[in-house]
Amino acid sequence: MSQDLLFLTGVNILMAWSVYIILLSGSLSFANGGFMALGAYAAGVLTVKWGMNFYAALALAGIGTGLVGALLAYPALRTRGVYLILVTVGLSFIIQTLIQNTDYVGGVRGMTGMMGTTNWHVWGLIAIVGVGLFWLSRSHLQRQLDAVREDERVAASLGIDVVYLKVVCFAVGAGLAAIAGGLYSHYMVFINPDHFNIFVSIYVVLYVVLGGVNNFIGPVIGASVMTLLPELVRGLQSYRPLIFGVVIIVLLLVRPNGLLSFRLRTLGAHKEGGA
Amino acid sequence: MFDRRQLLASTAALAVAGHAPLALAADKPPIKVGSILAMTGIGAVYGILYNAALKMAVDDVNAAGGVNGSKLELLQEDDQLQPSQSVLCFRKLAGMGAVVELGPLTGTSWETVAPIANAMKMPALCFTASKAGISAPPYALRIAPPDDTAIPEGVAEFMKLHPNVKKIAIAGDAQEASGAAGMELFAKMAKELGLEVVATASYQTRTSDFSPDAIKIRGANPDAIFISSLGPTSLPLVKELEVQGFDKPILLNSLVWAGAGFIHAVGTAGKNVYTIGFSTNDVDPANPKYNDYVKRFIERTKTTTNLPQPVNVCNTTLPYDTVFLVADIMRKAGIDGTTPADKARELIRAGLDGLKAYQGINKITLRDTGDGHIKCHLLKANAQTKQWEYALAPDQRIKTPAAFKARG
Repeated sequence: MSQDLLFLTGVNILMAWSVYIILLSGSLSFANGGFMALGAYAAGVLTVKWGMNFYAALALAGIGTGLVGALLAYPALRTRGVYLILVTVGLSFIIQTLIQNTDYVGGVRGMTGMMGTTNWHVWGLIAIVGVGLFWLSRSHLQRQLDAVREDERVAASLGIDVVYLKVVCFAVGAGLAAIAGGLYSHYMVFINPDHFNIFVSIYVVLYVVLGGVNNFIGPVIGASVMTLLPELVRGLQSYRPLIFGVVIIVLLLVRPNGLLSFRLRTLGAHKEGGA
Repeated sequence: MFDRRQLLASTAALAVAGHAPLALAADKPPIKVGSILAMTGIGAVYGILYNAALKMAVDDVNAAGGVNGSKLELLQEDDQLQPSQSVLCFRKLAGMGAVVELGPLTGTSWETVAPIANAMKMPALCFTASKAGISAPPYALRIAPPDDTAIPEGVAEFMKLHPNVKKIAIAGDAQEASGAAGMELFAKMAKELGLEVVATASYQTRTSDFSPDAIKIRGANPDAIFISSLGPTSLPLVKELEVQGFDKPILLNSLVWAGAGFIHAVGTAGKNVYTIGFSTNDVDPANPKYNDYVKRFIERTKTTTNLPQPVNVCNTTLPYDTVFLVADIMRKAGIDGTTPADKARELIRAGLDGLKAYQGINKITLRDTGDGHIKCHLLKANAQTKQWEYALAPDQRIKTPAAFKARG
């Protein structure tokens, strides 16, 4: 596998996890392409225009976008289902349009000069986030999130702070998408608003849905398959999108719950299972 | 006296000795030269044309014995006119052992790749890209004349031909670096010449509906329009202007002169269309090398490409010259296929460092900015022949080049 493909697979795994984290609390976000853009541009401005250290820029871009995500989440998460999806789609368009009209970051022309990302950075972050998600999947917090996802009213009646959990998940997901964006911009050197259009958000959700939403490994499989598949059928040239679409439809028909749909055991599950 | 056996042995020994250098030359590995062009998508009309010129140059160099006994091997990568893809292609070519990279095509891509060339210490030579001020010596040089000399030279001849133009509209691709930079230069020229800019319209590279822009421009009633965008983007705008009844002169920068397609498809909308360039398909009495090139290139592209015929030679001499320039530098530096890539790249960089001018098919003067200069002229579209031709007769053309600082 080429270095570039390895890199893109890694970034897509991080992006898939950013959607998965938001989905843990039962919300579906189509704004993660927008958050990725915010991170990519913020980190780019910090390193190229302000001369900041690459790692500090990534961290700041992640934290800043996470806070923006939290601010946006509070009103946005008052909506449910398809309305929430529409709100996040709107967010994605708003972010893209804002960047297109901001001359400081190059507007529609894009921004260049970002360098420094290697595959070690991407896969190192995957290892760190993966450990975190594994810990989460084994923790009591996972069970609270499961309760929120399955039925918010019941969760609230059990004393779980539903709004807090949803906002935190949204903020963490947005922050992770931003860091993925920062890594992306510093590998690709050039970015423009077209790189973060609504299709990015749609694809990322597809990674999670096709891989499986019930555990954190599903999005990894989904992102890897969907990134590598178009490369494997490169020889088909103009028929690539067709094959890609057919594979998505077949997967949804054959594995409606995703390629990996099993649940990981949470901490203490064995005790209750034995009771 | 030799007996028959001795004679045969001596003859065989002589034959082996005589052919030894040839045998060694054939055994030498090739020198890898990378190229990044848009071979698919909107930029294919440029990429296919330049690729034909690059291949012709490589074939000519190899037919003449190659470089220090090694053949040139062209490694071609398609960036689909996407700057981020240009970056990936550049890294890929470096990883494949290319000692120099030729391209990419657009200003945005060149602006992105030039710093990487320096960071990776890999020489890169651009033969198109018209945005000024984005080359990055010592590793990233541009052989082509950018718009900061081409536009003043072209506009000067345009104003000579159309002295009554007082009000202009400026339109262009605000998304692509060369398109946007061309708009700024047109505005600067208008100010210097005392022209009033009555309307400005910006669009994006893949815009397809130009009716709002054409309505805006026509409504401002300019005496002429200056347009800065790639051929495939400019074409629907020019056609829309014709549909809306605009029949005043339209000057497009060199982005339209270069490449295939625009001149073949513009049709009747091209009756008042001008561009800026330094050559046409016509015979140049003062340059037999050029005439030979045009003849061979047109003949060759008839069978090797599916380009619209007769092919527009335009600036394809630049990729051709670039290959010969690189081959010359490598020859002088003693580079062959056995030279380690890092060492070869350093030697090519050193060769480029001292370069002040190059005489190939074109006479190229190197500027202190790392760009080339060739005197440009105003060209007019001929819809019947589907060719660009000089708008002014030889004795009417302005000979003085725009101001620039040559390499010291």
